[in-house]
Amino acid sequence: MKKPKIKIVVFGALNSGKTTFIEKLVKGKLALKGEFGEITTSLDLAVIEESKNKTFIFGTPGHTRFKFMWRVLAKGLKGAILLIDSTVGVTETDREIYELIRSLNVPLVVAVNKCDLNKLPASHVRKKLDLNSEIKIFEMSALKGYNVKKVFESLLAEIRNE
Amino acid sequence: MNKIKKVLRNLCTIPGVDGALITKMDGITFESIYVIQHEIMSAAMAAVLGAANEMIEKTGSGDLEGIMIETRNKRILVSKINEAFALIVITNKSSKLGLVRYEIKNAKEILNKEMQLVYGQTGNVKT
Repeated sequence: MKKPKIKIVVFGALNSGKTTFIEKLVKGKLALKGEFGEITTSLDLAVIEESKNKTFIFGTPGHTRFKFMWRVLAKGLKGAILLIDSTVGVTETDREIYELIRSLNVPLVVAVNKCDLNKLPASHVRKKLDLNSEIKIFEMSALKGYNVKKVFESLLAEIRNE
Repeated sequence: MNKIKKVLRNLCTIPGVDGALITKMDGITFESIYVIQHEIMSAAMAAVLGAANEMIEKTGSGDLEGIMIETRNKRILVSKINEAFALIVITNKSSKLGLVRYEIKNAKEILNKEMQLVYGQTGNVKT
C-alpha cells in the first residue's frame, strides 16, 4: 500500500535560513536546490520517507521579487513552517507571509532562527505577528542544528492531529 | 491496469518518448511511467507551470496550455490536463515533435475526462 504523502512548505523572508534549515533536516541531501548566487529563486525540495508517511518539504524563495511563488508552492500544502530571522526581527515581509499562511488555514509552526547569534523572545514574535497562543514558536539555529528536528516533528504531529 | 496508467503507457510507445508522468499541481507525482527521479520532475514542473501561469495571467497573454523545455538531447513537454493535474512527457531528440504533440492532445482529453470523474477540479478524490 502506498504511504500517505504530506506536503509541507517552509516560508520566510530573504536570508532567514530556509534552505539551511531544510538541508540540515535531510543532512544536505536536497532533491532540488533552485538557487542563483546565494538566494533561492525557484524552490528547494527534500523528501523524507518514514514508516508512516512520505513528507515532501518545499522551500520558497524569500526575496519579495519572487513572492508570486509563495502561493504557487503553497498549493496543496498540509502544513507550514515560518522562519523569522532573529538578527533582523519581525519585518513587514514576515507579516505578509504570515497573512498568506493564515488564509490557507493549515497548521503552522514558527521558528525563530539564528538564535545562536541573537535572542529574539518568542513573546515578541507572537505579539508582532499577533499569533494566537495555539501556534507553537521555537528558538532554532538551522546552522547549528538546534531544534531543527523539533520544529519539523512538531508540525508533523499537528498535521496528524488535524 | 487502470485507464490512466494505460494512457501513459501508450504515450511511451511513441518512438522517441522516454517516459511520461502526471503531477498534481501541488508538485507531488500522481502517476509515472519510466521516469526515474519523477519526484524532482513533478515538483519542479508544477512550480514552473505555476510561475508561467502567474506571468500569463498578469500580462494578459491568454490561457496557459503548456511549456516545452529543451536540453541538448531531450525535450520535456508539460501540458495542463486541468486545474489540478499536468501531463509531462519526456522525449529524446529523435522523436517527431508533431506526432508527440498530437498524441499528447488526445491523451489529455482522455485523462481529463477520466480524472474529472474521480477527482473533479480539485484533485481530491470525490466522495
